[in-house]
Amino acid sequence: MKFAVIRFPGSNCDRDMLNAILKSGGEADYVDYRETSLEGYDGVLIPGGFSFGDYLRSGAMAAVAPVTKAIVEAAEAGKPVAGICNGFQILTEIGLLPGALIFNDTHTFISRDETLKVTNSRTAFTTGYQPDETVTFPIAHGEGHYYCDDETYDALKRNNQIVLKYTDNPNGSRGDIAGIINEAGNVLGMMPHPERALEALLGSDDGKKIFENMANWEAAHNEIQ
Amino acid sequence: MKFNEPTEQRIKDDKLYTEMGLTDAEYKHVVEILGREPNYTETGIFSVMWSEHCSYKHSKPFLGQFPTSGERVLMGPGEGAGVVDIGDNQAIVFKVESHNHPSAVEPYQGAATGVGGIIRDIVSMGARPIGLLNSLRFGELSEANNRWLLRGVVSGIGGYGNCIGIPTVSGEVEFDSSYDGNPLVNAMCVGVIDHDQIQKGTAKGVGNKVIYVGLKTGRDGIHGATFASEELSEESESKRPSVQIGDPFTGKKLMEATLDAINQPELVGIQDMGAAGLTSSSAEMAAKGESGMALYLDQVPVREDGISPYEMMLSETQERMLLVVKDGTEDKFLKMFDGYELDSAVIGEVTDSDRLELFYEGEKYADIPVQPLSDEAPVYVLEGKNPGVDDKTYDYSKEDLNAAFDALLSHPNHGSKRYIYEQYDNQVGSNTVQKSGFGSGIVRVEGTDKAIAMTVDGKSRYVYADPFNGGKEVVAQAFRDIISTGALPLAMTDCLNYGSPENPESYHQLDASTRGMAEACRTLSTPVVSGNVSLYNESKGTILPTPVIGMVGLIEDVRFMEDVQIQAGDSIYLVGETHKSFAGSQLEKLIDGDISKQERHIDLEIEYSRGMDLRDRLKNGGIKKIAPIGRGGIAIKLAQLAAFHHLGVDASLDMDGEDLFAENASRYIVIGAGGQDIEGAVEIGVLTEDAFKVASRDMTIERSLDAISNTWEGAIPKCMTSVD
Amino acid sequence: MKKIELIVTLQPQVLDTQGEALNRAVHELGHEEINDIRVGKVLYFDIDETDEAKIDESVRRLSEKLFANTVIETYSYTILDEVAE
Repeated sequence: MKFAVIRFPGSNCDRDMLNAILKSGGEADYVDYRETSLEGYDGVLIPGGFSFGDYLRSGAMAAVAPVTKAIVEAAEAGKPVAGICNGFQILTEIGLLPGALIFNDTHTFISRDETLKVTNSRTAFTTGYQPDETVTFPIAHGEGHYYCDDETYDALKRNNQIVLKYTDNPNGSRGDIAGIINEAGNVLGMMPHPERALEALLGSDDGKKIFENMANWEAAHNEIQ
Repeated sequence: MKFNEPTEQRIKDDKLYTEMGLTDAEYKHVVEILGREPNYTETGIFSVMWSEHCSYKHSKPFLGQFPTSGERVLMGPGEGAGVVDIGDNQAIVFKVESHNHPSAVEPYQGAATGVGGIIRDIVSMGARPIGLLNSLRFGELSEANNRWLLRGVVSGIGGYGNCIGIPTVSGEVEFDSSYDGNPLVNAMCVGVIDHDQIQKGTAKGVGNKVIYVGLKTGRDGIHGATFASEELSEESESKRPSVQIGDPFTGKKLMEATLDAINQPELVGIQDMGAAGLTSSSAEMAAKGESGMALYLDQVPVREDGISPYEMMLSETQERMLLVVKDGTEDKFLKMFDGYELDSAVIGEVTDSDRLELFYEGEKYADIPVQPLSDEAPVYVLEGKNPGVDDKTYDYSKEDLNAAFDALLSHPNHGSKRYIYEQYDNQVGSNTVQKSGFGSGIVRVEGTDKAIAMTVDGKSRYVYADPFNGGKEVVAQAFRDIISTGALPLAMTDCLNYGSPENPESYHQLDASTRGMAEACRTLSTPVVSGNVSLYNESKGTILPTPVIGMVGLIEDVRFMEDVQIQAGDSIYLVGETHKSFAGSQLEKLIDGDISKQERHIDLEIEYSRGMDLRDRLKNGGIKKIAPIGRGGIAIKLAQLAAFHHLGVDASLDMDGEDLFAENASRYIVIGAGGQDIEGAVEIGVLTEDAFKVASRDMTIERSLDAISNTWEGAIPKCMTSVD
Repeated sequence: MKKIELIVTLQPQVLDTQGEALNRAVHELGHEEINDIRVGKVLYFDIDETDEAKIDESVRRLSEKLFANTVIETYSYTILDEVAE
């Protein structure tokens, strides 16, 4: 599996994301946001950071960048597309995932280790985690409050699209939501940083499975059938 | 002339130069150097180059005492930052710098641009930043203005550092009324570089091109550098336009572009445009290259029309770099910068005139010999006054020491700093082994098992009590922070925050404390490789003399930390003798409300050997944790340890109750298996599952672990509940 | 050429943390008569067009695509004075 790690000006977790997928047995290249094709890539990773400085709204300008169309095509083709932190914000701005990320309730940036519950381990991204397993991933965001209207929230619940929940909601997210997938199950967006949770020495290695699943997408996909 | 500016005659007659910060004698010296009266642009250039901020005119004699070389030092002070070898052809680059005065006026932008500035210092050396640290001082949080400053400064540091993507891994803060209205914001950056990539800020080779890259120049912070060297007054409020605005998004692009440019063989030199922007970068690069430089200022990218050469040279617009590249390769660089979506332009060339010549649309606006501009900056040696020692004896034995313990633990100085550091991204880059919370930051070097321990520390109350020995203690404190991680201390950087040098007592503090620091640097083998001076820190009064030390150390193989975890049942040791040392202590502050001037003691030989011994024991696995004893003494350190690790303490010490709060040097709390024979140590108790109990000869502190944790956690949040 | 003033605000049901913080601060300053502060953004730009229908089309398209996130925000705009070319 070869992944495109999309680099926007202001992306700053791009190297972490690339390293994470390489360590998990995948292949990956950086792809500039000005590219218009993602041909040759089997999946897309949208890293964290402050694309375009988070100016106007986090993710807003990235969502209209030249590469966006190719990301949408990859998602529609069923390839794995994962957006972490700013990447999640971008995916909601593009419309590949429902809802929006707004300012944390504290209106401050929050950076700390957060305990999460894997609420759906029957996805290709999260297979291998036990149902309702608790994991520790760092969070680091200023706009991580997941917002959606009632209808969307009901649909998320109905379709089992909520994959990760905070156990001690840090930002005011609706329903403690930390991460969701699309209906088809191949687009993942999450505010916490699994790419920073790959080694016990750095605090947690709970994030490994997500990247291993992506690197072995077909096997992961078969597991949940 | 295109711009309507005061004439040479008027500058002289009306002494306009004094408004820019030049004295009569300095103006006279400028006239001698030029052989004529300076015009408006030239006067401005001299005034910023000869400001304290750029020339260190009052502090140079003191900085000269510091040892600056050592077997690992690859580059000492003089360039943007110091460089220290860490083996395998790698080195670390680091520096600490103040942004005090801008932060007092506009805390968010002042702090943000302070962080941006220190990052550019590291990047312009060719290094990729791996860690940020900050040392902050505010007045007490009971004052609304200090809460406003804390909020603004912390969000400014986070706003810049988080966006540019460098983890903030450590820091320290102290609240004391001497900083009312004059907060200190010292930012430190540590970067990693390969030996062969080290860059210098130099302009060489006649005909080579000068390239400007970064944000377009506006009228930001005109005379910011001289502003930074003046005492703050009520009028400072009205100087708000002098504060620069940071743009971390452009800063990030500029960082990546600069690191790319440094890989190009055609790059001759590079320097960031920090204080006094274009002036200091161009003058310093020309001086280092022993060259001249001609700049065509109409080529400088500008944000608005009509910016004069004077304004351009003094503008402190952020996120800019100045490069010198081989003649004929300029288009390659411009194209590269275009790819990063940065504005850039060729704005001049290196000449053999030994002069800095400035042109605008063909007219000459300045013609200054390069060497005297940077080398003949005045140096002032003033007279200090030693205020002597106060007549005071300490006896806290009759005080309610249990109440004192609660008061100290719930004070923001000793409580958890989570409110602050959780606003900083401390893990971006995925190499942070130890982040803010307890002890130094530790960042692994990408792709290796090496790690860099980094700390920033300053104990100003000790320096006030005894400038000479207190100066030694601040260096020793940073040394203790580093050895506590198992790292070998390598070198340090310093930020000297003091009052006005024209105040004889402040001058004495500067003199005596730097002598003490220099002695400590020699004994502890931590040469000074970079630094910064901030004088005139006076608002309602003079700040405590606050030398801040940034120190780095090397951990050869960080994997030894993998399985180390302290737990209930581990023994607690007190290492080092406790003396009734209360001058400058937090107990003295709490009970007496002031600091008396008393001699403090430190034996640097013992400091060194004890530190190295403990470090070895940690690395070998004999002990699990080292915690230097600092503010608030043994009692507070044990409480912090308990609260941070959620473990109880059961300890008993053969000393007077008041001694639990004494603050003498060279002491540690150490955790490890019981029954060990550690030089200078006494086993004082064990870690437990629950409850906190510390007994002395005449009093016992007994609390539930929850009470300790809640008090410690709530120290800052309880002050910050109101909306100011 | 016209100058446009575009105002983007959070939809009323979306929590506005800045507005809430300001509300508290204003009350602490003794102004209990002020409530429901909502913070938004104002964008000013020039548009090389004079036909109101065409202006409306451009501004709406860009607002929905970029200037505002219609999941959480609403927008309104005003055509200001003619801009000298």
